[in-house]
Amino acid sequence: MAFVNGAKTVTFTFQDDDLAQSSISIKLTPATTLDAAYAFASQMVTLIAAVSDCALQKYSVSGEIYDDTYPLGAAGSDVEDKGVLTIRTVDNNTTTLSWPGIKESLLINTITPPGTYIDLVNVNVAALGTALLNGISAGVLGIVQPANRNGQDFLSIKEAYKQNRGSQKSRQYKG
Amino acid sequence: MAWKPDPIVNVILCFRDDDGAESEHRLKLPLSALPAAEAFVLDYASLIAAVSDCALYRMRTTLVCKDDGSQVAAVGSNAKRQSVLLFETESPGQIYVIAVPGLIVSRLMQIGPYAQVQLDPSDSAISALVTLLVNGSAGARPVAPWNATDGGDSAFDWAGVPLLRLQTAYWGYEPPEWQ
Repeated sequence: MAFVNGAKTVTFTFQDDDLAQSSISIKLTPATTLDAAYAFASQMVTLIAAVSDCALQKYSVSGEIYDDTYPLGAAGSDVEDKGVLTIRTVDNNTTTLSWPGIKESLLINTITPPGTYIDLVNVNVAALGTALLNGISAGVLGIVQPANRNGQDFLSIKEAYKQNRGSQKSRQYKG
Repeated sequence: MAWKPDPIVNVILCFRDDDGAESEHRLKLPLSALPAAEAFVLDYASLIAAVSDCALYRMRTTLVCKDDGSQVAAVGSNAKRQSVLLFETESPGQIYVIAVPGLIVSRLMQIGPYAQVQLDPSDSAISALVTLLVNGSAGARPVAPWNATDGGDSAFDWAGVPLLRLQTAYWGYEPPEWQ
């Protein structure tokens, strides 16, 4: 893997009185931090709204990191073989995370049905679980902990299993 | 206008299998994590890659801000009518175009040969927008998405070429082909 920083993109979405929408994206240098891009977008929003008679509906700031070797998965890999985690959150909700291409070697074959449940004590699975539940230290910036849609922390992993299901893939950005 | 950021930052990790089929792993971070989000994503990538036999090839982090509903489009507004701004870049001869949806007719030149066609560069709203696009803000500078050396519009691996000055601005209809 050779991950490199891509551009930061600030996108503004407008809507006219017929409810037709149109967007404009502005690229910032790859070295721009997300924080700085957000500050730029917050400054830009008033100025760009002032030159349009459409309603500025929303804006977004995004950053990409990508592998410039554009690799393929291992032989026999399938993105639709998902690893699925059902997770309890501190607000007493349940959320589900899935990832493409669960490794067969992480599945338990000694319980029924065999090859269905993920081995939570496997060192790699346990490390992922710890990161999800306790977060990852980002040095002086503190600990970053994943959350559910409401911004609530994860509390515990309720279930972990393999499921074959369709894939979701968002629209690719150009550039 | 009151803008409110989403309470979460969206992280999307893209995977590819050996057939070239692609799929995503989606994760959310609290808004407070924005300054450290990219550092988190890089560390998290190695953990998630270790439990997948697909190749992780792209990670995208996005924050969305929405209006509180106070924004209303003007009667007769048209998202396809655009304020088209042509910028000279720091690469001589290479022009970058930024087209803002929704033209305000009063910002067009009112007299002269380009009346009702060219945007008035002395208009305060136009010049304020141009100034920010050319100068950027602290730690953030808009760029044309290509390399100064190759001039190509490659999807990846570009450092970006800063915008130098506004060359001209006019109103246009429909997204131009090169957008």
